[in-house]
Amino acid sequence: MLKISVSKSFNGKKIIEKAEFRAEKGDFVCIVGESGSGKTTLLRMVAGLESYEGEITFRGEKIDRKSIGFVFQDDRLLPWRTALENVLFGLELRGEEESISKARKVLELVGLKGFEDHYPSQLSGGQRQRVGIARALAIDPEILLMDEPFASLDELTREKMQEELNQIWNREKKTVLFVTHSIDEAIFLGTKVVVLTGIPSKVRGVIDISLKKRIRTSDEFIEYKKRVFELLSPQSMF
Amino acid sequence: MRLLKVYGLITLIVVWYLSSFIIFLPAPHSVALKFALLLFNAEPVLGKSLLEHSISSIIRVLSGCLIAFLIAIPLGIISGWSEKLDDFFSAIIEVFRPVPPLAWIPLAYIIFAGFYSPVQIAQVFIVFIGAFFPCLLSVREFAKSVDRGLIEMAKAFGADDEDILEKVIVPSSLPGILSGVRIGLGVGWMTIVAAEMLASSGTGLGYFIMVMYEVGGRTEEIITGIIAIGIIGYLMNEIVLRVEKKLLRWR
Ligand SMILES: Nc1ncnc2c1ncn2[C@@H]1O[C@H](COP(=O)(O)OP(=O)(O)OP(=O)(O)O)[C@@H](O)[C@H]1O
Ligand SMILES: [Mg+2]
Repeated sequence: MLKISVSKSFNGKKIIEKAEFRAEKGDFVCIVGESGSGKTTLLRMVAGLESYEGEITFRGEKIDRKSIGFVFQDDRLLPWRTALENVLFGLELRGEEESISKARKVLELVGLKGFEDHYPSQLSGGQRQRVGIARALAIDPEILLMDEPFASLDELTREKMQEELNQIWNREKKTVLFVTHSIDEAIFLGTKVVVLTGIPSKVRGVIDISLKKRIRTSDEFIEYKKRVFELLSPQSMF
Repeated sequence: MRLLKVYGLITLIVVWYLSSFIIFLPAPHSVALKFALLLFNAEPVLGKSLLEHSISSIIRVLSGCLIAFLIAIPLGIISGWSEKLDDFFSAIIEVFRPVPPLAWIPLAYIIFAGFYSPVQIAQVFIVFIGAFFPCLLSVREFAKSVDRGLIEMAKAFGADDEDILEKVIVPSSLPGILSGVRIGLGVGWMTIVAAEMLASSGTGLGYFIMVMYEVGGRTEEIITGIIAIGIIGYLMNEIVLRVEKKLLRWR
C-alpha cells in the first residue's frame, strides 16, 4: 500500500496543504486539479526528487527509487540515444543490459515498432512521449508515476493509448499515480480519482470508480463525470 | 556550393598572378613547381624535405594538444558540473585566458633551458598553453548547460552520481569536447609555427620559413611553407569535423 500525507512549501509559500490519500496495490489513482495545483510536485515528491513535510510510504517503508517508473510531463529523452537506447536506459541502471528484446517488446506495445533506431529529433511529440512511457514500463516498476502522459497526443492515439495502458495495468496490476487534466481520462482509467483544489491545494475528495463497462457514453460514466466536476468547481465550496 | 568554392580558389590564383607583376611576389606556377620539388626532396640549406618539416611540426602539435586535451576535458566537465570547483578554477582561468600563447614563448625557452632537448619541450609546452584554454572553455560551457531535467530523469530511474556523469553529463558535453578539440588543434597549430620561428629547432615548418627568410628572402620557399601550413591546418579541421558529424548524428 502506498500512503501519502504531505505538505509542501516553495520559499515559504505553501503550495500543498496536507494532501492525504492512499493507494492499494493495483490501484490506478488519477489526480486531477487545475494548473498550478501541485500535481507535478506531488509526483516528484513520491519519486524522491523533491523534499516535503509529512510522510510518503510504500508497504510501510520509505520508497526505494528503483521501484519507481516515472513518465514526465515533458518527455526528457536523451537526445543522443535512439528510441530503443532510451528505453534501455533504466534497464542498464539495473544491470539488465542484455534485455534488448524486452525493450523492443515494450516499444512495440506503445506502437513504435519500426522506430527503434530513430533519434528523438526524428520523432513527433506524441511518439517521443510514448518512448518515455516505454522507458518507464520497461523496468517493470512497482509504482508507475505518470504526469499527463497523453496530453500531447491526438484524440485517436490518446484513446488507443488509454486502452493499451488499461490492458497493461489489468495484466500487471501495478500501482499507478496518473496526473491528468481530462476528467474523462481519469474516470476511464482510474480506480480512484483524487481531486486537488484551492490555494494552497488540498485533497477536495477521493472518488472510487467502479464501472460495469468502460464506455464513455454510459449513464454511470456520465454520473461519475458530474461528481468529479462538482468537486473541481469552486461553486460547490459554500 | 561546390562550384562557388572552385570559383573562389580560381579568383585567388588570378589575383595572385596579377599581383606578381606589380609587387615582389613569385608567380603561382613557379611556387607550385617549388612545392612539388620540395615536397619529397631535401631543400639544400636545411637538408630536409617539406614533408619532413611538416611531420616534425605535426608531432609537436599533436603531443602538446594531447596533453592539453587530457587535462582540459576532465577539468572542463568537472567545473561545468560543480559550481564550487568552477569558482575555484575560474579565477585562474580568467587570468591566463586572455594571454596570447605567444607571450609564453620566451619564458618557456628559459624555463626548459636545462632540459634534454629544451627547444622541443618548450615548443610542446607552448602548444599545450595554446590548445588548453579554448578546449577547457568549450567543454566547460557545454558541461554547464547540461539539461537539468535529464539529470533529474536519471535520478528518478535510480542513477547514482557516477551513472549521471557517464550516461548524461559526458555524452551531453560531447559536442563541446569535439569543438574544443577542433579549436584547440587550430590554435595549437598557429602557436607551433610561431614558436618554431623563434628558436633553432632544426626542423619544422615555422623554422623552415624563418631560415628561408634569413638566407636571403627566398619567397618561393617561404610561400611553399605557408601553403603547407594552410593545407595541414585545413586537413586537421576537416578531419575533426568529419568525426563530429559521425558522432553527433543525433543532432
Ligand atoms: N522549483 C520550484 N520553485 C518554486 N515554485 C515552484 C517550483 N516548482 C513548482 N513551483 C510552484 O508550485 C506550484 C505547483 O506546481 P506544479 O508544477 O506541481 O503544478 P501542476 O499541478 O503540475 O500544474 P500543471 O497542471 O500546469 O502541470 C506552482 O504554483 C509552481 O509555480
Ligand atoms: Mg504539471
